[in-house]
Amino acid sequence: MSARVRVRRAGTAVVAAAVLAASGGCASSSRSDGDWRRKTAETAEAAASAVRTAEIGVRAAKGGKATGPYLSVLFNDADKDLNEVQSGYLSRQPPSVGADNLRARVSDLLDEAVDALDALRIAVRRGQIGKLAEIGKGLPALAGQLEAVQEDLT
Amino acid sequence: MKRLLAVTLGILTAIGGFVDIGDLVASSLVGARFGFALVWMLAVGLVGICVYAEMAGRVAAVAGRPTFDLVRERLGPRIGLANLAASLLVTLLTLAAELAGVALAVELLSSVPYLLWVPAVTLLVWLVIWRVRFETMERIFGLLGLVLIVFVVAVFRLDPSWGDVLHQVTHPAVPQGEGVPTYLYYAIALFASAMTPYEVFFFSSGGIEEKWKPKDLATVRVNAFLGFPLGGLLALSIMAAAALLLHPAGVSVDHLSQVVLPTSVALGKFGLGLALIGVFAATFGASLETALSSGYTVAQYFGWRWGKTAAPRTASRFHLVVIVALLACSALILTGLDPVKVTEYSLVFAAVALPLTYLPILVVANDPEYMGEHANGRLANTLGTVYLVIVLVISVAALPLMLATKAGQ
Repeated sequence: MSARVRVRRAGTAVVAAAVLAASGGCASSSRSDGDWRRKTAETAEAAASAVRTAEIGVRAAKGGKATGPYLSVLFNDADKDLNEVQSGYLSRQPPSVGADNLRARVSDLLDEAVDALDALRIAVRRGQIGKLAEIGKGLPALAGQLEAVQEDLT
Repeated sequence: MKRLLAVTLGILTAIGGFVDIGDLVASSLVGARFGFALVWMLAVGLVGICVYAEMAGRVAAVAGRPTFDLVRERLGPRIGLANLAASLLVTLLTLAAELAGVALAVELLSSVPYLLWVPAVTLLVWLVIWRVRFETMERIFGLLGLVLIVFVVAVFRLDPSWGDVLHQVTHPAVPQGEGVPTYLYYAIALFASAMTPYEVFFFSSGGIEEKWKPKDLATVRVNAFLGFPLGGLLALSIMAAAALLLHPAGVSVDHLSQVVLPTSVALGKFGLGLALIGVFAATFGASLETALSSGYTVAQYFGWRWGKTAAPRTASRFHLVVIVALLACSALILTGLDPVKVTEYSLVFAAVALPLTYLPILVVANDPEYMGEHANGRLANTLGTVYLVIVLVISVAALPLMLATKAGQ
């Protein structure tokens, strides 16, 4: 094998590895209840992370410790993450009737979380920093529920 | 003051190496996900880059040869070309991410979407490279990047239990729920970020731009042994702040907005403002560093006249490479590619390319024909050899670990 061919093959392998790694986040169908539960736990964990981020942001806002432009980006990023998590989860087909119940429970929590983060994002955009504490008061409980789902499933 | 100004090259290089956009997010991500369990790897990487930066700087001062010049001479034109391709790919990916990083910092200050800032940032980086003197450039951005020391203050304000922190640092363990391959993947990413090849390309080329001679060896050493540890301290403080605030909350870090959150909580708007200025300066400095490194590596490989201090008319091909690199990287980011993901992958590819960069430095720093009485001593050789073995192991393990862990997911 010539050096040129070897270099080309090595290059192809590197590109293939990058593509494989990059595709790691794509949604796939669940073949078993166990797989479904694992993916649901990962979803709950990722959603809880976004909600906790917003919760810390609200805490900073309440103490007058963060600027409006910064909070706007922070909540936007968290909201975007949460939307990706939600659409990824809902695009999967639950493998059994039992999984339907779990899906409904988590789906409700995700809807609630998306609504809460949307409300924060909109309030910041309108300059209503003083109202963030009131709008975000349900975040700790919501994050707690998502974490409880994750703990139940792992 | 004069002594502080003498180490700005080391500080700027280290800031590019330890707190560029990828490292800012990676350090915070690792702290939020693993607590203090990977601090040891940051220390391992820090010692490694100090050892090799000192060697590369010493070779530049004594033999007047920058690193990539040696790579081609010692590895031959073919392997040198492969190394050029790999190093340039990593450097360009990093440059693209840095341009986005500067724009992201401005977005956090203004809430105007970062993509709108990318063309202006690219133009500004080019103007600084074109018009500002090398020493002025390194002093402004090296010293301004030190504002990130606000993360150190934030760590103290977060009031950690120091005994607990010390225990976690000295008894590292894979956290519950994390796999060993994922832990090792992030360990490699941290190591690669500390020893990214463009750091030594920039450091040695910068030394030649500053006309280092054997009489400047003390300056070389102060740059390597003070500048890089300062960069390491900043990375450590970012990791620690995340470990103290975000780790207990179960937050996973994916955005720059989360990286600076601890400074806001601990120090309020003033701390947040300083952190954002520091991020701007660090990523801007890293943009300059990577843009120039692109020109340095290509020009040194092909034997063209190079140097920021050289008039564009006399080093036209070097300056053309810098301009093309800036335009290409700006275009790449304007496609909407996630800049944080870009640097995460570039760190893994950097890990693969590490041995080809560091082997020639070790060989030449050990060669009395080039170095005379300034050739490596026993300690430098021992450390250099140990680290060469480490980078070899890491370069072999990087890609399989990336695949096995789906890039750390």
